[in-house]
Amino acid sequence: MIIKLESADKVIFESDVSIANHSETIKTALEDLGDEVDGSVVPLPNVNSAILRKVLHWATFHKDDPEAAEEIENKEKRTDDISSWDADFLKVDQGTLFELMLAADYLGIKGLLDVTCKTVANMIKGRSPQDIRETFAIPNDFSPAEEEQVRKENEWCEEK
Amino acid sequence: MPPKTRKRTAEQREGGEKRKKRPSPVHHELLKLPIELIHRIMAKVSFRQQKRMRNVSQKLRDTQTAYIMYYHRNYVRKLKRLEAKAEANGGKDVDVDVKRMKSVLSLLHILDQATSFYVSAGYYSQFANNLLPFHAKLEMGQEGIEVLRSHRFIDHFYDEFERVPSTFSDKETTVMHLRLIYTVTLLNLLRKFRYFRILRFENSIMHFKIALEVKDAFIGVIFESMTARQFSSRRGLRVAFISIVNQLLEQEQLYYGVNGSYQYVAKMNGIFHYGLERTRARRCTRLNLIFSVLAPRSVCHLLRDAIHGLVDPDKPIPLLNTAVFNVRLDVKSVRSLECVEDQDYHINIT
Repeated sequence: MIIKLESADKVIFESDVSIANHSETIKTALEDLGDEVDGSVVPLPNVNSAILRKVLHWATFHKDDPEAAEEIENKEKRTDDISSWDADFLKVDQGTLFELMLAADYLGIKGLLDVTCKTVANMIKGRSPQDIRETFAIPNDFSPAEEEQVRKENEWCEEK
Repeated sequence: MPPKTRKRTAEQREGGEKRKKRPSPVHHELLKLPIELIHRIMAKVSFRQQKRMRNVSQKLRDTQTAYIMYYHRNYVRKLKRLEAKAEANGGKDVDVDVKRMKSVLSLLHILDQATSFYVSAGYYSQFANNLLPFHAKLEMGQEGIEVLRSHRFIDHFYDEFERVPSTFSDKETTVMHLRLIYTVTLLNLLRKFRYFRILRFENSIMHFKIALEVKDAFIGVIFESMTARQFSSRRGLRVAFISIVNQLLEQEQLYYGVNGSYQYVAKMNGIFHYGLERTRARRCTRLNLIFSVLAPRSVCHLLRDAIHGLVDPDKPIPLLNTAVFNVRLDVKSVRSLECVEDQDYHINIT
């Protein structure tokens, strides 16, 4: 069955229900619609068309994936298990990456949310504070006194 | 229920009229993401790397503090759940090292007693920063318990409050509020000892005096110089003393009945010699402490409540009038055994 999704900028997308059901948000909306689902449009006011297109592309590729299980604590920090397809898919600019993450969160797509978070985590891992500032354009807003405090704190943490 | 509307699909548009206006994507920044998402990202980064993240910016530092506090509370809850489960199984649970788990929980409880008034007052960052090595060790499969057991955790935690930057707005009020929290914490720790008792209590306008006794405990000091028998650093002394009280409490709560004495080398012209000493001698070891306080009535009432365990550690200690606030602590140890160190000295807490 085909359903229609409306992006924030009023673009309508058609998607197979089995693909759209990857999203908890859409799934719930469809359950709410019940018999009226045919011909209805599900509005997604928090996702623009460019991002929704990408999300549907991702969901189509992953349509046969088993439902993402809750993460096991020990595996939570693992970020080296991103598939090559996902890695290529997420070779986008930072703004798009964050928007995909926001969309995945809003739509309740655990798999996409997980892989976008892992991608950002990989951009952080192994980097110095200065590298992180440069990567994410974060200004250093510490006052000299705070900077001194940070330095002293680090002495202790490094000791450990 | 979503509204029923009919629109042309994106596919229908393609090849037809060209879209007049494509909205430009909104560029989000990492720190503008909802905090839950930043926490999700942090959850995938090691604690050592999180420490580096704390050094990036104040905002990221605050976010990491919120994350580690949340993570730590969940960790404690999980341990308590496991403990309850193990107890339900008669103390036998093949999946967990019950003995070790109990030790960690006890140490976390002691740590909580030592830090809760500060944390409730909003000093999360200092607590979070000191927690990181503990969780980092656990994460690496190493024994995190040694971080908790080490007095350095407590030392560094308290020491951070001795370094209020001179640029801090309203420094004097902040410092006095910190001294008040220190005094409440110290009184609260002392009353947790098994053989603690209030010997005397005097209260008059602006003055408050309380004499306490902790049986079996002693805290003596060996001064480096016989001619200068006084402490050279008030700041170091405050940190050392409360750290020692914590260690004694830890020793009593974890290994009750086991005698032990220890040394604390403080950077203030002296070495503390302290411990627990239960003997059958007629003259039993005990620690006598007299707090002499000069403060407004509201502060005196707070301290009186603290010694009776009536101050809720989960609620912030209010910013009381501490324009006049002076606390002198006279310490005297009575030992059942012969000793060489000084057993009488005083500390100015404020």
